[in-house]
Amino acid sequence: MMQSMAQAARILLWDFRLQYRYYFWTIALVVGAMWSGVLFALPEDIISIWLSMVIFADLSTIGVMFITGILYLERRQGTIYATAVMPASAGTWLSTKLFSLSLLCLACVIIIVLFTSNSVNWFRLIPAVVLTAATFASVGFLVAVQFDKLLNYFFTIALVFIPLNLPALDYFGIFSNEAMWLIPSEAAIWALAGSFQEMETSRFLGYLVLLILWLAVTHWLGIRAFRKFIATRQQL
Amino acid sequence: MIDVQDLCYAYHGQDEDTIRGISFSIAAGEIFGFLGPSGSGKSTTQKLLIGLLRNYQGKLQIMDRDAHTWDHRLYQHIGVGFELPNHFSKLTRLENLQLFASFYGAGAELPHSPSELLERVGLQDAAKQRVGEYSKGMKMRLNFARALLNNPSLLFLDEPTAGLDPVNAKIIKDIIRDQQQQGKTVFLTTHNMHDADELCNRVAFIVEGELSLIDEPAVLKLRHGQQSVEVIARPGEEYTQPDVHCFELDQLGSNQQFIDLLNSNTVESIHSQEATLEEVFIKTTGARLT
Repeated sequence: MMQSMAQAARILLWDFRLQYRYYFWTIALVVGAMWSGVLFALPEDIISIWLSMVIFADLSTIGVMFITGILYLERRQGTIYATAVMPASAGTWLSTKLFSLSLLCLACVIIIVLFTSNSVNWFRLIPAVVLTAATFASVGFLVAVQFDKLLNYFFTIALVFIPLNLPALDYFGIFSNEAMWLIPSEAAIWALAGSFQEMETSRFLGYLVLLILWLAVTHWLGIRAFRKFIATRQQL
Repeated sequence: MIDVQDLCYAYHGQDEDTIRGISFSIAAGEIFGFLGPSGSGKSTTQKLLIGLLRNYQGKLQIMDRDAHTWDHRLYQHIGVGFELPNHFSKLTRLENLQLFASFYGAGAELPHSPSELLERVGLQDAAKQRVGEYSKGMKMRLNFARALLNNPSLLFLDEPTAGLDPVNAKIIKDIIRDQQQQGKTVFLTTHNMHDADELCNRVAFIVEGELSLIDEPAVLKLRHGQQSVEVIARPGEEYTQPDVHCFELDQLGSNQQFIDLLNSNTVESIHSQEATLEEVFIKTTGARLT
């Protein structure tokens, strides 16, 4: 157990280094600064409504796009096939990727929030951001791993994003339905909203539990997809 | 080290088996060449051996354990060198090795440091250059160095000398021999018959998922060659057409014509007429190595 943890920590450090070397951090911080600039120009009452939605949009886009970027980069360079014959499980590989991307997303969100909001509960925001980013990165991996060509991938991910964005209608009070709880973004949007608005702790924790469940499911499916679409398609 | 008995494998959704009942064993310390044309089942066999494909039929044992019982911990004991380069192009060669070394353990736990391995394959210079700027040959040497990171007892090498100049190919072949002397086992997949002939204790030919032959290269060449020697002599001036003579090996020492030719001081070369490994392959399989 300790050995596995130490191995995951070493892989994680290299993930950060690679993300820095491939300019992922630069892009994330620039995107964060741009959102800050846009929101900074808006009145405070509008910011309080839109901030959690902006963060949600930012996390879902960055989480999905960056995991896709990592996957295609590693496929093109063949490094993912070398990883498949290393003594780390597919679960460890995927977990470190999701965790490192979540922290990258967190840095981006911190920049947005620092310049735009005075009423934030950081103890709520940090777990909400990390779980939302990890869940979306996991969904992005599940879709991206199935396609060798980016064009096919973009078409499919656009279709996937339609239901994923439906809970925004619930957030703005336009349309609500019990079935929304079957979409992972419902819990994500409300967990993020609970970081800026009054919300009972039990309700907020309920959203986090839902996010953890979604992350567990997509992570498990991701491990299976890694074996099916990467390990067995090894370039020898 | 490896024991394969009546191994069959069909890819999901395919009616016909890609691997059709192959059997072979590889002893510890052996260099075993696995030869075959593209699409013959070489890669599928190797994927089965290194645990990337499951759901096979038959018996497959790796390092005295059924392949089904191994998980990712198998890769602590084996090294895999790929045919195509696979490195992070924005990292240096040392960083690439350090990254993959992180999967095995902290630096001190590895028998050879990444720097030592780079030196062994002749990549010690220009440490700050990023791998994206390397030639294919340099990338292939880095592939090979990575396969040795964990000092594996079983090495799977796919075309380890592809894209290398003769000097660097010799460095790699010397290291493979050195690994054998240390008791390591090598499973070598290659199209290069010269490499297979030079390195392998035994070779196996696979065509359309079936093994057609397994034996020592020297035995195969003798068995499929002619029992004769070819003598090239040039009795006239330089640049004139040489004479080519052929003598049966049987009773060669008492063949007066052969002895006379040797004493004529015109002999330029004498070659025994064993077959090349490529000729044996074509003869026994009817296929060409493409």
